[in-house]
Order: sequence, then C-alpha cells, then structure tokens
Amino acid sequence: MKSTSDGTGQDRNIGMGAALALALVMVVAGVLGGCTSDDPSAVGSELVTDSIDTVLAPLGTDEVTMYTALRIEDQDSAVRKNIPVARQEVLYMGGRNGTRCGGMLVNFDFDLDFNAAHPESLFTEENIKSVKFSLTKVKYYNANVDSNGISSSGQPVDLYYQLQMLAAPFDSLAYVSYPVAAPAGTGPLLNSDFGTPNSENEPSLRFQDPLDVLGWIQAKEKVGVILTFGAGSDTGLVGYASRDLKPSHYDQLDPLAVGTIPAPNIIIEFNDGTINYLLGPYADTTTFTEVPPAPPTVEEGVLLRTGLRNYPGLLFDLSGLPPNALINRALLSLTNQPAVSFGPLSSIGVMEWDTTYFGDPYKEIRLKDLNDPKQFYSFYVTGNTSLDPNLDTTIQFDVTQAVLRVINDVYEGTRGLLLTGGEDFLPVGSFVSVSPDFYYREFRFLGSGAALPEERPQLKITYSVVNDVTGEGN
Amino acid sequence: MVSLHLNLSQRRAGLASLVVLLAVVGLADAARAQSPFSLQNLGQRVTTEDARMTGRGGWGMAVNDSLDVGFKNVASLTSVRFITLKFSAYGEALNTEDEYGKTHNSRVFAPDIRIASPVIKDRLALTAGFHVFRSMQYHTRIDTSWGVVWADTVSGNKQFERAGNRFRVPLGGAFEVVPGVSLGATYNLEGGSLTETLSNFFTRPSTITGPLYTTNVKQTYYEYQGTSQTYALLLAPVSWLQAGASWTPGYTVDVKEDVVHFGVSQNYYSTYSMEMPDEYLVGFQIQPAGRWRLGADGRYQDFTKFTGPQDWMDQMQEEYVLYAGIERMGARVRRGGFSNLPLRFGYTVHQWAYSVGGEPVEERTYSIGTGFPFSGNLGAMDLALSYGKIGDRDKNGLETEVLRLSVSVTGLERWW
Repeated sequence: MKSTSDGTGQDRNIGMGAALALALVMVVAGVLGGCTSDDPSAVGSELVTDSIDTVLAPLGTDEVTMYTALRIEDQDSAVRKNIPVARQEVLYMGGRNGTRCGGMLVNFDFDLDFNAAHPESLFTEENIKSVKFSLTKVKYYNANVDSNGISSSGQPVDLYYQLQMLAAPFDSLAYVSYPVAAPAGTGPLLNSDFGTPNSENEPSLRFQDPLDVLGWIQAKEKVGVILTFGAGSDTGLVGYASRDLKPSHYDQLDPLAVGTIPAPNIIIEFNDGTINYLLGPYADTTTFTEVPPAPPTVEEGVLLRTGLRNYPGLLFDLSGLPPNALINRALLSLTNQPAVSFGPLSSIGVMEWDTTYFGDPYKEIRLKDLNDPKQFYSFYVTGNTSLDPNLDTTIQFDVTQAVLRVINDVYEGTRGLLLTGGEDFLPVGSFVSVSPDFYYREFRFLGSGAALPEERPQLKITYSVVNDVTGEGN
Repeated sequence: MVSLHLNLSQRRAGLASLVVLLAVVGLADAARAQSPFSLQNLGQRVTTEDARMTGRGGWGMAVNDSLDVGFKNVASLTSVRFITLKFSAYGEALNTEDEYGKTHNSRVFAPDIRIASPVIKDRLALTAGFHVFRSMQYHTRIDTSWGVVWADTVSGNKQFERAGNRFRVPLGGAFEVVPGVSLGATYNLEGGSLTETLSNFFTRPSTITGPLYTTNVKQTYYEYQGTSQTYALLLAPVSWLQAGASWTPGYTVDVKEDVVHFGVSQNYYSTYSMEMPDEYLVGFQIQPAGRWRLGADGRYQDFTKFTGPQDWMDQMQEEYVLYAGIERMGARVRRGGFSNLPLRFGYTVHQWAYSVGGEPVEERTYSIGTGFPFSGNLGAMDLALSYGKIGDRDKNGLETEVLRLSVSVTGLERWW
C-alpha cells in the first residue's frame, strides 16, 4: 500500500511558504551567526598523534674538501664590461697589507685647443702666474682633519706628493693587469711643495717652474708624469678620481666647484685675470707593483678582494647530513680579521658554483664569465650588504636553499659556494651603487687552520627529518 | 533548478529554494571546521539523511512516499512516480571545549545528491547519486618552543590540519516483487581522500633577530578506492505500518598513501587495504492516526572487525545509531495556515566507530523540522534544526556542541 503526503486540501500558491522558509532560514542563520570560525587553536591538539621525527637538529661542518681562489682578469679590453687597470675609475697610491702602488701615471697632451677665452697669445712667460697639478680624493679616503689636526676617517693624513716627468708618456695597454713595474721618473721633482705634508681632499701641487709647462705647450708635446708619495707620508692606500670616473659616480666624491675636473689635471693661472685654464689627462693609471696572491690553501685563510677582484670558492663536506633531511637553515659562517682587512663598506654575494670551474686553487676567469646568465654553472644564493671589513668579525650568509639543493641532488655534478663582491649582475639588494672594481678592499677571513673551531669557515646547518620519507615504500 | 519545464509557481519555489541554499552556503567562511573528534581515525560520520528525516530524528528506512522519496532505503524507491532529484546540505556551528579552552567553528557541507527514475511506475525504479558519509576537517595550532638551537632560542607553533572525506556513488534500483514487498540493491563506488598536514612554524628568530628557520611541513595524502553492494528490503503490509532493512556486506577499500616532507625530494609511497565491516540498517514507521506518524531506525556496524592501520584498529568500537521521532505530515486545507505545515521532532543517539581518550564517543541529537511543498506537490523544500552534543569532557577529554541547520530540496518532474 502506498501513502502520499499530498493530503486532502487544494493546491495553493507556495509564495507564502517560500517566504516563511526564507525568513526561518535567515533567523537561524542569525542564530548560527557570527559563523566565522575562530582561528586555529590548541583545542583538540591532544588528539594529534602525528609528528616529525627529528626537528631542528644542528650539524656543523668545517671540513672544506675543495677550495679555489678565482682571479677575475680584465685583460680583454674589447669586452665592454671588463675593466683593465688603466680604465678603472679610481687611481690608487700608497699601499696596505702587501699591496703596493708604484705611483700614479698621468699623460697630458699639450697641443691645446686654443679658443676665444684662452687664445694662444695668452700663454706667455709674462702672463702665466702659476701652474698646479690638481687631483681629487674619493670621499672615502678624505682625511677629514679637524681644527686639532685629528682625522675622523682614519685615513692617511700627511702625504708628501712628488711629481716627476716620465721619460715618455706611458702606454695604457701596458697597464691592464697586475702586478707591473712602475716606470722611473726622470729629472728633478716638478712640484715645489714636495716637502710640505698635504692633507687636503683636493690636493693642488705647485709647479716649481711654470716655464716647463710653457715649453710643453709651445712644443705641443705629449708629456707623461708620475706622482708618488715621498718619505714621511702616512702609510695607507689612497684613492683619487681618474679620468674614467663616471658622472653617475660623482656621489663618491665631496661636492666639487663648478668647472672642476675631478681627474688629475693641470691648472694654469694667469696674471691678467683670465680665468684658469684646466687641462685634463688623456690617460691615467694606477701601477699595482705588488699584489699579494690569495692564500694557497684554505688552512691559511680565505681572501675576498675587490678593486682587483679575487673571489674564493669553498666546497664543504656534507656527508654528515641524512639524505632525506629538510634544511631548516644553513649559514655559511666566516670570521673576518678587521686588523688586516680594509676598505669601505661592501656587499658580498654568494653563488653556487660548479666545482669543475674551481681552480687548484688559483684560476683566472674573465669578468664576463663570472656572470652566468643561463645558470649553467652558477646560481645566485644570497648576499649581505653594508659589511665593514674594518669592524665586522663573524659574517654569516643564509645558504639554506643552496644546501637544500645539494641534498636534493638538483644538479648534475657538484657545486660549492663562491663569494663575490656586489657585482652588477646580482639581484638588486646585493650590490651597491658602484661596481666591485671601484674600491680596492680586502676581507681576510680566518682559514680552516684557525685555532678556535668556531672561527673557521663553516656551515652551521639545522635540519629536520621525517624518517619515512626515504624515497622508498611498498 | 529541478525541472526543465517550470510553471510560474514552480519557478518561485525554485528561486526560494535557491535563496535558502545560498543563505546556508553563505554561512561558510575561510576557516571551516567540524568537531576536533574528526582529527582521528575514520573521521566523523556525516548525516546522510535528508532534512525531512533529520527533523524527525533520522528515521527513514521504511519510507514509501511517492511524493517525498526517501533514499535511505533503496527498496523504497519503487514508490517513485516521477523523476526525482534530491539535494541536501547543512550549515553547522560547533563549540568545543577541552583542557586547552574553548573554540567555535562553523562550516557548510553538501553531502548528498540523489536522483531516481521510475521505469515501471510503482514497480521498478533506478537510482544514482553521490553522498559523503565520513568527513574530516579540523585544524589545530599550539604554541611551541624548541629550545636553543645554535645560539638561537627557537619558538613558534605546531599546526595540524586534517581535511578530507569518504564518499559513495550508489548505482542501483528497486523492484516491487509483490504488492507490499520491495527489494532493492545498489552497487557502490567507494572513494575519498584525506590530507593530513603537520607544520612547524618557527617564528623566532624573526627576520629582525636573525636568519629564519624554514618551516617544516609534513604532508600525508591518502586516496581511498573500492566498491561495495547494498541490499535492501521494504515491507508495507498495511497502509499504517511499513518496515525496511538493508545490508551492506563488508568490503575492501584500497588505500594509497603518499608522505612528503616539503623541501625534500624523496617521498614515501605505500598501498594497503582496509576491510570494512558489514553494515546493517533496520527501521519501521507507523501511522496510528490522522496526519501523525512515528518511526525509528537502527544502524549497526561492528568496527571491532575492521582491519587497517594498527592505530586505528586499536581504537575501534561497535558503531550504532538509533533514530526515533514523530511527524505530523503536511496538509493542504484551504485557509489552514500554519496548521498545514508538517512538523517533525526527533532524537538520535550515536556511538561513534572509534574511541577517543580511551572511551567510546557518544553523540546525542535533538531535532525539529518542517517543510514546504512545491506547487502541485511536485517536490518540497524541507528544513531541520538540530542540536547535539558529541563526546563527554570527563570521558573523552573534550566535547562539542553542534547546532545544525539542514536543508533539502526535492524536485519531481514527469519526463515520461
């Protein structure tokens, strides 16, 4: 027997029913209201039995199985981004920690372009009041001496400049690399103030005999000069603007007067009140006569140098890590030695680097090969900025993702870690406004032979393991 | 939404139904969850009854109503005279308390869609559908310290999230052997999936105080697959008494398990089987006088015979549900007003399939309901409001209060 629920009444329009239903639902919805769930809480957590078997286990490894010291060579001046020494934006004099500069070489062409403001008739023995050799320090190297004669920057203060003629203008192509021998000056010193210490930010050296310059002008000669520090000068490395300084990097100098040539230049003053004539160089260069190589073994230390790029690569022994570990964090830790490191603040980048590109330990590569845009043999990992070689001791880099890739066998072959300066091709945030060739600086890190284990180059790894996750199963 | 050929009043009814369903769905939010009891084992058994049955406590094994078909007993589908489509959903708000405090959760769930079609009216019908019968959806978070690692004091929180369900696709039919005796059977495609995500979030040191520790995420994914059969019987010897029963023999569920640890290239993969025990349902309904009916159902599945993961087996219990209630059926008396509305009251007691805190979990639910027929009696929308309590704080360590609004829409259409 079947029953039905259609009752005995007549069909009615259900509009009223639907309205009632809707109202009821809305009321109940209000009752259920505030039906936003609370955020997850501890309630119920006593029923959770799942767990991760090993959480945050520490593993330190300071065993370096491969080490390299890459020297980035800039000899191929045909490559646009390469910077041969003679084309660097900063000219260095003096020396520090084994690096020695033989002098600043500057070539001038005295075949002047006379014009209405400075006609050839102006350049006479009677009208030339004085001749000076002027140059501009890069701001970082300013002595900043106060009224008490104390430097606030720690840079060399008293410098005895000695200017001498070269036998002939120097050839830029002979100064693309390092080390090189500096040519000897000939004849007497050109400047009269060689015996007076100079601490100015824009040193201006007075020629003993302006007629020397007049003679060069009249002969339309090309003249090379060499500037060196004389005895008694404070020790240290000092950088000056070169003719190759890019206008975009003028912020690395103190503000200059209008019309100033930041590069080494000749300033001729006239007795008749004519504005000074400034003659810039057609070539200039630093002469790096001594540049110590990176330590030959990692036990002896690790060197990262900019200016003349020298970048270290390290491969650590990761055999202590379980193959199924998740790397919660991995820090590459290095101990800098402020007593022997020097230079301005720096960025340091860390890249994964195929160990087939490591040297044993020395290897020269070109700058363009340091950049691997297709990531065939390198991959950027991380970078730190504002590192101070004069102050920072323990410097750590978060290389978690790199170690994770190693553990996961992401790459064919083996990849170590290469430390670099803040190269332009690294991601934004890992480089500063000037390229690593601008400032000569060194980070000298303690090596694997350091007495204190915590000061050795090492990876500080923290990992977790789920025991079941082994790539196997049934 | 129900029929292809709707008259004006049917369209109004369909629109109202749609609004109601949207209102229910509107209760959902991003942090949906059910009771934390679903954090373990098979998960919470989901109400598979429609809102009409839910309002009267859940009984429906003996339904043989040609205009409001019950899908709980497939044998009852012989009464189907029209193409029948039924959609059920519910929204629920839950308050849970345990040693850690209280929490409020809510969610919307649409566990049941069914269709039945008469082949020979009053004799033979076919059916298909989809219904979720177990659900797991909960998320915990507890502050944690991992002590000193290197030079860092590491702290943060552990989070565990369980989300998934078990569902069934029944395909079958019902046949009236002799007047008053119907048989039914379905072939059930068993499926489902479950994802368990355990995370360690290390919030200290932070980006300000030091390099971060990468979050640990262990995720286990389970996929369930199998088949089962259900056999059903409906007896309707007289118009005021009907009885029904069904049996689903034990069946095998194949499980694929995949464990991953985010950031690790390896995984763990395994397959195994779970043996589900026989499931029995029986029920009756009587109509002693006028519009009043009462009835009761019972459901039993002995999960102590379950085989599967050992930690699940260790917790298993006999699962049973008792449903009981009364119903005043709807009427269509002119100017009858509210007295025409159906009224339903019911009570359900349910012992879960597994214990929590070493003790069985008991769920008691009280419900009321009503419904609104569509024009021409071609379907109805039914509502039920139920209040229940799951577990006991003293016995199980936690308990959950549940307030649930259930909605079902049944559409009937003459397609031939």
